[in-house]
Amino acid sequence: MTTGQITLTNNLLTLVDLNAEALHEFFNPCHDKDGHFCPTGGEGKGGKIGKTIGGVRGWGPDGKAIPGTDAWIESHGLARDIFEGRPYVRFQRNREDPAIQAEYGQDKYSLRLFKNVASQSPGYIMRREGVPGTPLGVEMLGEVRPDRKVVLDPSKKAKAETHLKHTIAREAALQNYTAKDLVKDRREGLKKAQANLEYFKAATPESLRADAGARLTKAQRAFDRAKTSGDAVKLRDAQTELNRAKRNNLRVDRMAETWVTPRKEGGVPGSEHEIYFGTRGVETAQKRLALALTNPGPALETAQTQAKHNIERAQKSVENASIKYTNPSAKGSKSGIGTASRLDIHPDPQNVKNLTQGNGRVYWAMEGVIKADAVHTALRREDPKASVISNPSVTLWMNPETEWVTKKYLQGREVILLPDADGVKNAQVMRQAKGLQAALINAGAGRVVLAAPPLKDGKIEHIKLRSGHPEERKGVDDHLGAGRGTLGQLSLLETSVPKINLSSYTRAGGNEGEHKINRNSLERTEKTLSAISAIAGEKGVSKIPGKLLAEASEVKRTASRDAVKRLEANGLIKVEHVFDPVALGLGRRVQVMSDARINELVRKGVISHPRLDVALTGTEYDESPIYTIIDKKYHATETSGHPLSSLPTWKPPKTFKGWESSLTPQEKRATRKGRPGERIVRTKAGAELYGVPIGSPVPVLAATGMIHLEGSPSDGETDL
Amino acid sequence: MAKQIFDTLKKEVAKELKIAGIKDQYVLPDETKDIVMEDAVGNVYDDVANLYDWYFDKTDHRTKFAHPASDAPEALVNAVRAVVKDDIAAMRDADEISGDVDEEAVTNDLVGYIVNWQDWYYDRKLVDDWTGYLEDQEDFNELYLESDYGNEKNVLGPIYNEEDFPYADVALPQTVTASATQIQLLSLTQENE
Repeated sequence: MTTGQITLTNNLLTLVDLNAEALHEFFNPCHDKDGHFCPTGGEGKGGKIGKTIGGVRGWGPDGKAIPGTDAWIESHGLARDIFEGRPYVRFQRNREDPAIQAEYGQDKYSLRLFKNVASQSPGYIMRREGVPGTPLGVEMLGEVRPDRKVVLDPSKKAKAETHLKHTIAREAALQNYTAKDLVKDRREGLKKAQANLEYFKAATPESLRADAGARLTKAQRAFDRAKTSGDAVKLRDAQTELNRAKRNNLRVDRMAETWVTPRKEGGVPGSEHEIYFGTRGVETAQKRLALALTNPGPALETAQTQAKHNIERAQKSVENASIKYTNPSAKGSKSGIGTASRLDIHPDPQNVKNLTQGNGRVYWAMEGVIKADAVHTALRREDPKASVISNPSVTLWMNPETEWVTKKYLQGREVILLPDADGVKNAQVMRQAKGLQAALINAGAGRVVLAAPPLKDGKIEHIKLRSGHPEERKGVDDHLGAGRGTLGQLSLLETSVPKINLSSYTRAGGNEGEHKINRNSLERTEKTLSAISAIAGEKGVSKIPGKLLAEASEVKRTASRDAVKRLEANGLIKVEHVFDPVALGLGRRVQVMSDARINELVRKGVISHPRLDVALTGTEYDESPIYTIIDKKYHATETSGHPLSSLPTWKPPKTFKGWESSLTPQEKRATRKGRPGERIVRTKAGAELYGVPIGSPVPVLAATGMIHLEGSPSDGETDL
Repeated sequence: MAKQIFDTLKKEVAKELKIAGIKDQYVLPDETKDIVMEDAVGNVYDDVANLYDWYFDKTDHRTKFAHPASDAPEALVNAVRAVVKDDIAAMRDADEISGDVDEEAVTNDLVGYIVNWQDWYYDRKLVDDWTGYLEDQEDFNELYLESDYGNEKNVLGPIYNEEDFPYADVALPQTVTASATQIQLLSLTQENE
């Protein structure tokens, strides 16, 4: 046990019998000697860790929990040992914070990124660790969670704000539009569509290549100019356009090869394909003009509704410019270490063992480590044979590790995917979650279901923190913490895909019709249709990006495209586009879907309102096709609304009695205030240091003429 | 029997590709060379095994790379020959082809397709990875992640940094000079920016 005494003698400070830990603790109450986050301290020095409410300490004046305090970890359903075991490393609002340097110092791009974050807000570095045996190596850079939103790219924010102003002005103008104004707009749209068609009619392979090359040359020049100008907005735009122009160059090169002469007799030259889409673009523009002329009222209403939706999207873009979670830059980092898409597992040995050697349930948190750690805390009591892994975002599962971990550890096992409660109503989240579900099943996992915090009357439930501050039961951590929920209460969503058997489309299966499925392609075609069904769900229609479809089908991307063509040729699916996909590649948005169909798909929640009035694609990507499964017998069925505890395999231990605070009784005892002159031991480290249980008082360090140094402990409020 | 010939083809394709290995600059940060090699083998194998989807369609880009090559290993040629035979039979069964087919010519073309895999595989990977990145951005721009800050309308921003757009350092094929059409076209498209 360490004792120490500080004596002021003749104005000299004498440090007697203090070892390194005590000395460090005296001067740095909120960081341990390695700079790790002080276990029960709040932000900053001085040991200010908030009020005690409901027996739990750490509430700020606004009623919110101060990050890192008992209040905070309980609100998120975390156990202290899980929190410390990761660990969550605190950094202060300081570009040069040593924790940032220590974590990212070897990676200049990430270092620059996180210095920017730290200059705006304190926060946490959430350490991550790879799944044992992963081909990318277990070493990973941490994810950063600033306490407040930060702006990483002021130029992006500036551009988004400018765009928002334009969309608001456009909407305001449309409110004052007369029928004549709308007709004028539509005539201009028709003129553009006709120009697009004329372009393709006159195009030659040489002109196509030249135009793509010109776009590339122009983009390169603009980029070079932007670099020398120092204008951050221009540089950002120029970089985006240069990237797109590079990609487009290759595509157009391919298109040009068969532009005029098909190599096969009876084949279709590329020009015909483009003229077809160009013609459809003109037809659509003509119909829109006709609608404006003959039925101006509804036409104007549609335009005004679309303008309102454009404002919503623009507002989201402005909010987009401020972010909360940031991941290391992939650029310049060695294989695997810097990428956001890595799978993480908390290094707790039991969790790792349950995954690598067990056969229990596996929870897959799709929204980052805090959620995963909340589940980890809960499953120790409620589902002790289970384990939990995570990735930072629901979009980030499409990478080689997903297939690897499934084949290595998830064969035949039950997997629970964990999106947020609001994700269940979001088409894009569901698309991604169902894509992962399909991919896991195709790769050999057992039953795979989604589970999210339950809604109340179809909406996210409003709850209150201990302080009375309003909160939402949105994430699984909110549910398990402030929401006082259990894993078993999570709301289940299971998509059951019918067994897809297309053998009746082969000759051996009895098909004598004109279109048959080649027997050698049967398996791949069935997998692709099965993936479309899984992602489209009960509606039977979904917008599915190519990469998502390929990953969910477990086939290569080119093979997936071939399978889609086969399905379409056999009348099993319909494939639609809002915009001509090839024109998009040339930087032009040519609408080929009718307004009525667009509105129908928007009503069904299949797509959001596309930006119909803007010709250039900008930073958005609109090429993903919309698939409709024609025969309802291939539609998936969805079961929802039941709790996770309804699973037949659900058997919590007899010792489990429902929700309990994630703080241990000792930690709760430790939150009580010390009497004047008394300090309370609140941490395991402090308990070891003083040789007393957590919650015990220890005397204040004896000193003659105590000096209060800046940042030093005071008023018996020190955490030990 | 059919499964065996396809398995043999995959094995021979893997052997052939491993001779050259994977070029460093095409390995993205969330990949290793082994992962990319597995992807390359998968793509090459798929294209050959699924020849019915493209070989006879001259509008398909892949046909540009299907031509004979010299000095291919005999085991590879035999493996391709067996698959070609099976696939042509499946095509006839599905009425996808009629008349005589010079199976030996098809075999030689596809062996060349395998041997010259680097002529096309990297370009395909480039475009697929770019496209995938942009698709992820499209989805991400629509999403909102969990938030401790406010309400469900808050969007938390892209996880992808623009700097992480893949293959910044790869040299690309360039085409040529500006044309009057392009200038005209660009002026039309820029009106609404």
